[in-house]
Amino acid sequence: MAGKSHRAGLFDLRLIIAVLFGVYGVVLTIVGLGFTNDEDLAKADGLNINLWSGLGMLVVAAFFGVWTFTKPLIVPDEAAVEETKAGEGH
Amino acid sequence: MPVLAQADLRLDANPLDYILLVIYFAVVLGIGVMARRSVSTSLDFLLSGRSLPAWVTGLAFISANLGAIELLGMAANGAQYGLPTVHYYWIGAIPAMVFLGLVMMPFYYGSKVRSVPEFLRRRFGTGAHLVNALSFALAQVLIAGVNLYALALLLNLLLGWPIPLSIVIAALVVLTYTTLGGLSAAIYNEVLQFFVIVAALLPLTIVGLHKVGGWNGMVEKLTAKGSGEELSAWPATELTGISNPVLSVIGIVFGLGFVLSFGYWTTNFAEVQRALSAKSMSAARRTPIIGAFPKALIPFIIIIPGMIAAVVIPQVQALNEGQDSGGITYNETLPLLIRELLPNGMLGIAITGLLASFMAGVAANVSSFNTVFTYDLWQDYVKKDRPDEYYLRVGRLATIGGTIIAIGTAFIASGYGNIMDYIQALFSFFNAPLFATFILGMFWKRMSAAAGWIGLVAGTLGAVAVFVMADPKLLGVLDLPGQGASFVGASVAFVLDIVVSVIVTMFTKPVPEKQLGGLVYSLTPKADRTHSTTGDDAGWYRSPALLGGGVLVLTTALYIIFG
Repeated sequence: MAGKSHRAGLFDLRLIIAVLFGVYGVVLTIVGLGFTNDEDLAKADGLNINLWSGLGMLVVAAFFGVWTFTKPLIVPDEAAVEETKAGEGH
Repeated sequence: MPVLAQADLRLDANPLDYILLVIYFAVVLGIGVMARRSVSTSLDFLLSGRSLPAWVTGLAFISANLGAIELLGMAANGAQYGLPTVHYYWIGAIPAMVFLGLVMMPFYYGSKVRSVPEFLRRRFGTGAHLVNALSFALAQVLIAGVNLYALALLLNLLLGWPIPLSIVIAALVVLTYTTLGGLSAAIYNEVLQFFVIVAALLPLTIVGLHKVGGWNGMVEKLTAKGSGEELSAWPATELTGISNPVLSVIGIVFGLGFVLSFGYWTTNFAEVQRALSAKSMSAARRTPIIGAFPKALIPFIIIIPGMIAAVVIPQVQALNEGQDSGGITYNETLPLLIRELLPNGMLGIAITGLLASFMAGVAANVSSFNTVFTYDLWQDYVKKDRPDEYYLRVGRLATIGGTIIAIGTAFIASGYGNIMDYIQALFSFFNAPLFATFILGMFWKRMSAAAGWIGLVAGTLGAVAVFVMADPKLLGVLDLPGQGASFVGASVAFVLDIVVSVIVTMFTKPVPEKQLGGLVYSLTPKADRTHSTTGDDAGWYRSPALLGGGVLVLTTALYIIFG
């Protein structure tokens, strides 16, 4: 099998989730730390919800990132796919 | 009586919120472009090449149902009825999802059919197949249109975008990624949408609970202002509109929990398609069961915000007390709460979550429509035996055609608002008797081809009859306000389908047994019904039966705690 397959790379859904939530997490954390006024705080009943949500999203991003890199998705290449299909008797 | 100002629902979105929204759409379209590289056959395009892992198909399975109409509607039910709304998630979904995975999936996946109508064709032949394929294809494009219109309405209300512009933009985004990447793109985006919705609603729930003084604070405030009925799931007499508590419970258990729920979750192709795209029998069986875990927990971040709104939003309070709410209806509960509690930043995430769920709903409609159109209508009845590239092209064209019809439906709906309600009622009629036909067909080898389609038609007509009798604008001879009419209608359809199918079978020839291998329980060797337990399917935690049992225990525990 070696050499007949490659990593899914960018098109691994877990990586896409990690990137999206990474970006969202960084943006919200920065907004929460540096750009939150009293009005924003009052709206969310005193909670700095941007900060907490941002940190939560960073945790989610880290989880999917670690999962992606510890168990990479292996996609069989064309040749290997043909072989499997032939083996299944289609 | 306090006079409430005419409510303006416009959200105070700033550039930051729009940036977060734009980032999401860039990712969504990027998925479409990347998925295109993996599409080389019609099976790749219409069923993701049967290659997806169970956690992806499982999340897509519930996400396809987590459209925004459902989201706004269930938050509205939460505000109006309170805790009884959980029945739609627990008894109204979990048992059916487990049943689909454990009992029915071996026949769906094992028989290698590519759609739910195709199963009917192989089991009952042309009659039942045509009834189901035509009604399903029609239902999906019209419902896609209803979804588009509802989305445009929301964009107009929240952000002030003109309705026609919103319809076209949303349709173009969905069209682009589903035409490029097919079902893979739709499913990947559904999974992404699931996480964005949670990211939007979980903080909203936390802030809301903080505001009302936690769970206990909410319970106290709701108890103080009402009968307390919204604080226990049973007997849900307000929800069903059936005043006798015993009959109300029977209505929920049999009508919602059995007939409606099994009919929807086990035979609706937009759902089953997600499982058919899984990479193995084991993964296909786990798909609805893995989906059942988040399904059991997600009402906490949909219904609780609705209940919180009933104590913190004056307009919703006014609705509860039957007073003037300034033109607000329960359907605006969720946007009102978002506007009230979320600052810029999280506001952008919440808007993104709402839009994402609308688009995923439309994409699920369109991506199941194109499969049924291509395989079940075009390939079976119009052009047989063409090379696969031909059907891949038909699939892409069907996607475009379906979206155009949906846009047309959306514009018609924007002219005549109540058409939406009738379209949705119309398709609940087709759905109601399907489960009866499937379950008889899978376990009773004697059932004849004629019984297949006559049973379906009889059941559908039964549901229509109940609807006409209960709708106050039509006959109105049955007194069933609330959700009771749909529970009773579905039950009538189910019973009628069974009775008619049995009677017709008695007088017609059975389908020859040799055609039924893999389709009927007693004629399918056990080896064909079991899944492999090696490689990616190994491990006790991947056992469908164990996972299914686990989620049933979880749901029972939730009922005991919140019953």
